[in-house]
Amino acid sequence: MGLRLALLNASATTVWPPSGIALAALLVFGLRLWPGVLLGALLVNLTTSGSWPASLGIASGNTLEAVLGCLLVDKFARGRRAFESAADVFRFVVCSPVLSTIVSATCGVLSLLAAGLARGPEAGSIWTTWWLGDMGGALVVAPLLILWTSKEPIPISFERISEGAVLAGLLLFLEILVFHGWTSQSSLSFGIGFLAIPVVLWASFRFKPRGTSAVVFLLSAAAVWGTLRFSSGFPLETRIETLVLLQAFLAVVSITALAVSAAVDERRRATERGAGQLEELARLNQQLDSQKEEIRSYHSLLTHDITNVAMALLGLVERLLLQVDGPLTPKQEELIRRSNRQALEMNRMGENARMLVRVREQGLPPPNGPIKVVEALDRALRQVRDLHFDRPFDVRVDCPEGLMVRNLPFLDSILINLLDNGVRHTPRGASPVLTVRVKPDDGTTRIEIEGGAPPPPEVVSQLFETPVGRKQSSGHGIGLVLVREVLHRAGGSIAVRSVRRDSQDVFEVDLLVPKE
Amino acid sequence: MANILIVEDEGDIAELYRMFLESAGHKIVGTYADPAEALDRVGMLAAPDLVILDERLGARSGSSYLASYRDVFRNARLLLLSADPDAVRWAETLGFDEAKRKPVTLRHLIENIAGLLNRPPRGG
Repeated sequence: MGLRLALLNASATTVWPPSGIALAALLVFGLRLWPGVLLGALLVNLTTSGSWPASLGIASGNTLEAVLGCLLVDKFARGRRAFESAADVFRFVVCSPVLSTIVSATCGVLSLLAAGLARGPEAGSIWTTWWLGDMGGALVVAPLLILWTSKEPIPISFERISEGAVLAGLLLFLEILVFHGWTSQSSLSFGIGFLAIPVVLWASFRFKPRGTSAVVFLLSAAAVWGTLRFSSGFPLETRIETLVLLQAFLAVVSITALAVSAAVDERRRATERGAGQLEELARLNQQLDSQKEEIRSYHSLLTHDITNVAMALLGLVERLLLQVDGPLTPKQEELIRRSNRQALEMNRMGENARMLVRVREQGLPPPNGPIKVVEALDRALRQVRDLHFDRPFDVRVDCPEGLMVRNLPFLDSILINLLDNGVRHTPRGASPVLTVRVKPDDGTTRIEIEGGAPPPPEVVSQLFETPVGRKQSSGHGIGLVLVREVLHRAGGSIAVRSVRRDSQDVFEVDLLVPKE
Repeated sequence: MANILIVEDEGDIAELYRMFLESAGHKIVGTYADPAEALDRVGMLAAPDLVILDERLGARSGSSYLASYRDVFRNARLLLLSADPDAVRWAETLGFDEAKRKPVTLRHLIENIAGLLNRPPRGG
């Protein structure tokens, strides 16, 4: 069929499907098939030119075209996967239909000239015809063969088949309009031919690159067949002009359709990937939730049990210290007080961890009611004295007797944590003096705790940070994180700084309890 | 002095309550780890003036027995002891006579109980 359109020269045609077949064969089965391409091209050209040297030259050009096209498409357009993205479709077009076909056209024309089968003045027209014919084959036939030999399963359903049948029927209808149409005026028929573009785009949007390549092929075959059939009586110039226009039209339609189809397919795959990732994310979230629930459950059990163990230990120590079961030696009493300290420490760590999780997960509990600051300080100091029974320290409290705090939960814990911190970090041997000043300040309550050796600046900057992952952290750190969290959520604030008092650096904590 | 029923699943803690309360002159009418068991044995117990109930008793919750205990131990004050601050916060709203947060020093517990026994039970 291709050589029936060889109007200028028996070997040069505007439609040359074998260029696409050869390219597809090498891309699909590998470059090792190049001898087959050479042999096929040689046989075909012997039948047209009858000249061995010319046929060999032309066949070599055809083979080089296919090999070069294959190498370029493999290198720059992902080979067989060139139709999976719009960018690769354009690279494919440049690599093979546009560039590699130049080799074949050039070798072919030179071979014809050398064999005396073409004249010099015709060379330009023959070259153009040859190049256009090979380009058409590479653009229309190669995608069809490459895509239909892929192993991707073909989705078959009644809806898809029906839609495909309607699409094919519409193409047939347009074909009849163009070639058997209402009018014999070629320009109008040519215009009607453009109605095929929306139909091809329909295929691009709905039938993926594989279906699109089939539609483009059918359209091209029908157009060439129609052109062959109905232009036979036209003058040569008109026929050549018609074929050039046809090739240009088919090239534009083919490139557009394949690129759009690839872009639509890319988007579909991205959407599917996104949906898959969302699904995976949801699964991971569910897993995370379940793990969090498990950890929460362990945490709750652990803190409950710590409290119970602490209560039992503290009770036993309390009983021993009351000496109702017999007197204690001073050494025994000291050891029991050390046990008491450990039980208190254990209890406080459990309490802090429990409260911190509670505040983070459920927010602050509603206030229990007004708390007398003096009494809260007294309770806190008693516990800090029990914790540091073997360490002399002094606490001076300056607090109005009737001052109440109404909207700060966990005040006792906050005071214990801060006072304990003040004593704990003072070097052994020193006797820290802590000064606690409490005063109402324009509706708020300001609590200043001053004294104790200031920690290094790098420690101060991290003092209220979660101790996770921090080097040299201990469970006591949780208490300070709790203090900051409670104050922050209650609308208060806390500031720490190192200040100089009586030629000594001391630590100062400034705590602002929010307005009532 | 008062008759006291202890419902606490931690043996050491229950024993400490017993020791301190008996030292303070009270009589322990029973010590149970399971709140349902205390109800089952009600006929065999001297009527308590006070029930000390733990909140978390294995898989059971002490506060879920509030209505049954009010019904069965009509003249008893109900004291909830829990490590959970929220349980303590809501206990009196639910109908307990008093709630204390663990750990509590036993000296304070004895003082609290003395005060509690001076008040009539909420349901009585």
